[in-house]
Amino acid sequence: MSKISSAIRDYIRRFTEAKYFFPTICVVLLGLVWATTLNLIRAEYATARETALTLGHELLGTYEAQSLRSLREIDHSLKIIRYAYEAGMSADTLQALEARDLLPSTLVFSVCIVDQSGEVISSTDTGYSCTSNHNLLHALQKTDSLVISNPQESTESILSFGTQLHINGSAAGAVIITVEPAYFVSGYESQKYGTEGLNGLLGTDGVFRVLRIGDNITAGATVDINPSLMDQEANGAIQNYHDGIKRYTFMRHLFGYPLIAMVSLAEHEQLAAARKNAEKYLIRATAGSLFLIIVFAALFRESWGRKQEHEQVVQVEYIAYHDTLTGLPNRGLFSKLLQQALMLAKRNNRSFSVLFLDLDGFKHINDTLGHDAGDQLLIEVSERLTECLRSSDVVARIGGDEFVALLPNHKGGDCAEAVAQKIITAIAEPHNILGHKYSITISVGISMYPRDGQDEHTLMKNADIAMYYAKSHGKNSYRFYSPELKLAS
Amino acid sequence: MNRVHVHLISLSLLLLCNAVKAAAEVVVVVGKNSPMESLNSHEISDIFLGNATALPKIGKVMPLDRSEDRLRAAFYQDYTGKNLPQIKAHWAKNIFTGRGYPPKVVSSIDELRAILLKNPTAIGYTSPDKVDGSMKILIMK
Repeated sequence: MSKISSAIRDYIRRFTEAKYFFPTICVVLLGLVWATTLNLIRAEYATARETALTLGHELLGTYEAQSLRSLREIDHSLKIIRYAYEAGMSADTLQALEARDLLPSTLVFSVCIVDQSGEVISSTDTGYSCTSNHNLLHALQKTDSLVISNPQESTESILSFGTQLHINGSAAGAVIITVEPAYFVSGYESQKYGTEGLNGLLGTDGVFRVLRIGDNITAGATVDINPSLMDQEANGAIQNYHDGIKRYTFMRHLFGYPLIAMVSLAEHEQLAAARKNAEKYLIRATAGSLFLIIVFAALFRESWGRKQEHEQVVQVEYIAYHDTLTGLPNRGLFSKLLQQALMLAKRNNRSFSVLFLDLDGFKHINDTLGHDAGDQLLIEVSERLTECLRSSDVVARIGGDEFVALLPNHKGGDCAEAVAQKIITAIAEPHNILGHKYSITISVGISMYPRDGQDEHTLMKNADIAMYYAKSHGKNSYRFYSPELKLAS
Repeated sequence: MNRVHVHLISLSLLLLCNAVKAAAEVVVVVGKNSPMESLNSHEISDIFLGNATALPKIGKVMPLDRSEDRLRAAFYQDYTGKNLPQIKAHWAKNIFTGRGYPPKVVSSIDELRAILLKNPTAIGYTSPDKVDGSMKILIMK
């Protein structure tokens, strides 16, 4: 359990290091910015699409109603004219009906009555030629109901609606109402349809009776008609047109007529505002991202710089307080640590020991084997000394072959003795220097606080005296300080 | 008089002539019993284009048009600024969208006279030489 919690703590500590912390936070924030932006953009387009669909439905509904009304008016007028003519009013029929406002506006519509061979019997003044469309006449002769002309079967660009006439039960020609195809798309407003919107009347035979895109009005274009479209509605599905523009398409069959009302809105026009907003959002997100990156890069650099500085300081301090060769604390550091131990011992009424350690015969080895070997030896000695001591103890190198140790937590002389013996034994083990085995010994002098001194200088001096005594009385041993030793040396 | 002056004077005479000529070509008339005295061209335009169907203090007005000819073209150009195809397109749209109906067309000066006399709120137009005592010319405001 504690393994997991310490692993987590470790992980958190590593994470809060500048190296990981700032970049991670930066990435998270960037992620947020972009996730939000992309979501906004998606919503923008969705709303625009919905608005386009609603508009299309509305326009189709209006167009359907207007077209049906016009068609029914034409249909109705044809029936009135037929009735009047067949009831016997002959050549004056049209003028009489016009006088009574029973004809559609002659400003926009032309009416004529033709005989079986297509000759004009009577017509309103606007003078569209009703006779040149043989295909229409032919179609009229085949049925009694309303016939609508096919622009592909005529050279003229007018739309004709006709119905057959009968006198005394036999065919007697037809009455025809003509209008410019543009009439049926005159309700087109670019404010609503856009400049690439489409409005038209498509015959169930697949031929457009009129087709308007923007200001361009044509008649006679064909489309591969899906027979099922006759009954179905198109509800805004995207259609690709011959002009390459995708449009939301809305269609409905006009009840009672072989015509399909059609309204299409260009996708790129309807989504233009959304696209502008999307661009705005993208620019903002990019700017925000750049800003974030710059800020976090600056924070990172700042933090990194400070870390570098700190590390430099630590390094300088380390060099100032440690022996270069062995890595052990030097005299200066040891002095500080001893002062600290004195203060703690005084406060807590404890005792501690100071051990002076001097290698025996080191000079000899240094001279005979060379400084490299000497250095190697010193390094190994330092390692062994460290091993003999606890982590709360300190061992420092204060001279060429002189070391000093501080045992702050040992209780009384027994422990110091044990440590000294441990050290002597460890150092006496043969050393492997540059491939050869060498033996060396160490002399140890021990002073204790508070018995042998109550300040740094005294403790050090007395430990040194004890060590010197040990050295001059057999070496490879330890001696405790006592006032007699001072007298003896 | 230097050359610039000569040009300016000729130009203004020409414009004046045109204006006079236009004013002389078509006049707007109402019946002699009509309460209408004067209108501005904006009001006439609105009435004949179907943007207004009534006038304040007068009530519902009845515009009377003529069948297509030069006089008709002149009338619409002067008072609405539109040419005949534009007028036709205007009415095509209004008829199709159900927003209005074109003015009644009179086929002769006699018909015009008769309707103006019978209907005090009818307004028509004709050439100045056809104006008689049964009509009065509207003053342009």
